[in-house]
Amino acid sequence: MKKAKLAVGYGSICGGCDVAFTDVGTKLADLAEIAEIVYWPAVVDGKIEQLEAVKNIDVGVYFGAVRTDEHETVLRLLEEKSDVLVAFGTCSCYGGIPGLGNVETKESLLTTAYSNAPNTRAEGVPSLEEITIEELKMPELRDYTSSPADLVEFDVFVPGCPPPVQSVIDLIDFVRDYRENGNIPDALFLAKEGTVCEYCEREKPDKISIDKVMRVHESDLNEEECFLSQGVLCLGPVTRAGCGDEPRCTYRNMPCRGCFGPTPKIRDQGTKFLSSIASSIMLGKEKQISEEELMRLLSEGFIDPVGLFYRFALPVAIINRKHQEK
Amino acid sequence: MMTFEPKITAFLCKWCGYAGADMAGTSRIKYPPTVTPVRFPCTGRIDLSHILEALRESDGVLIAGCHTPNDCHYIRGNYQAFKRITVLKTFLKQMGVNPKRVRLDWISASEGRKFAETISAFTDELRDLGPFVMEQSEVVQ
Repeated sequence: MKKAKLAVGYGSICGGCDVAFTDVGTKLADLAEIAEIVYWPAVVDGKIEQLEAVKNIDVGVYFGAVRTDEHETVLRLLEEKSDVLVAFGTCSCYGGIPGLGNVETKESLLTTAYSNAPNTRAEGVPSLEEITIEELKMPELRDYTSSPADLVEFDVFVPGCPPPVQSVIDLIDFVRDYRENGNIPDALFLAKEGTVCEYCEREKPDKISIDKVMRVHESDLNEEECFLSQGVLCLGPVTRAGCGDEPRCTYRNMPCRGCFGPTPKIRDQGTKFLSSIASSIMLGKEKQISEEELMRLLSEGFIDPVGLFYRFALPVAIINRKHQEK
Repeated sequence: MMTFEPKITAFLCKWCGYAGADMAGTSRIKYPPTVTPVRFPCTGRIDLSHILEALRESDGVLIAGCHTPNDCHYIRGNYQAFKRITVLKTFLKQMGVNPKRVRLDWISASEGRKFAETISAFTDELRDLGPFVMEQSEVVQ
């Protein structure tokens, strides 16, 4: 049987998704058996011209968010040429960590990175415009990060930062199934429908009341008990499950950070969590303290709501970029 | 010259805020026609996504419910709203949105005058702030 043509394109990424792929070990050899890699810069050295030259691709995989025109070009090329388009990793599903840059303007991002950070001494910042030196082109940084899923229509979504080994195995199996039967799914998520809490075995109380929001290092964590009832913020209730039958963070005594993005029933992961967690503060004991005291508890407990609750899904939130108001 | 007239979406609890707006009407107290009321069973029912979605279409959102500590029909729904909106304001500040665009007030069923005064004051405040344009990075859904 003919091999399926596979192409992997990059947006704004950290490289973790490539590492996640190699994490499957010998299973990767199966991929080589069923697929011919026509473009994948980290695996077979390739330039964008190579992707442009390919006539058709069976499975196109996109890693990362969209922050420059270059990223969008790759994404559009993949969309145009691929039969099945796969969003691999949280960045391509929801915008991911690079999306947090949306709380700043592009000017302030560059100033911080190149001259204001304590460990840099460079004066001035690189140009904000596209630069061409001889044949090399440095694309311009866009005003904000977008989630690729908002720009094109994906057939398969593989959330996770990075996606766990099981998801990669599922994806390889999916490529095999596609090669044999030619099935093209409609918005298939290689994850679960429910929340992380449904798979977490920690003991959960019926009602959660938090007297003080604790950081992980401040609390003496009981490994059997729900994080939230101990005052440690855990995004399990609003996060899609799929990182394993034993959620990979909570099982190892760390709270869930929400890397699988919102569950299908939630419109906006961060806002949903803010709504529920804010009402858990001093639940049932509000009247014992003054409103000022309550307000102090809240503003000390949630210093950075965006960084905490929108860590992985800011570009798909209702308010998803910095506004410039007085 | 056309002056800017703000649009306010008001989420009113049916026991106090909405009854207060009713009282303003039956008492024939005048207030600016800038407000679109939405009746909620309790301010505790208001999810933050309701507020943000409303903010997409208006310049400000008013939430009015029963006085703290003991007026809430459901015992502490008003506190739930208070806590949520306090955190929401921190979030709005981070995103560069003026937190004054979301206003929480306690207005009881008998306070028709307070309702009218709140609307007038909020309208003036929003007029100073100017129109709110929700900058969206891409069209979402």
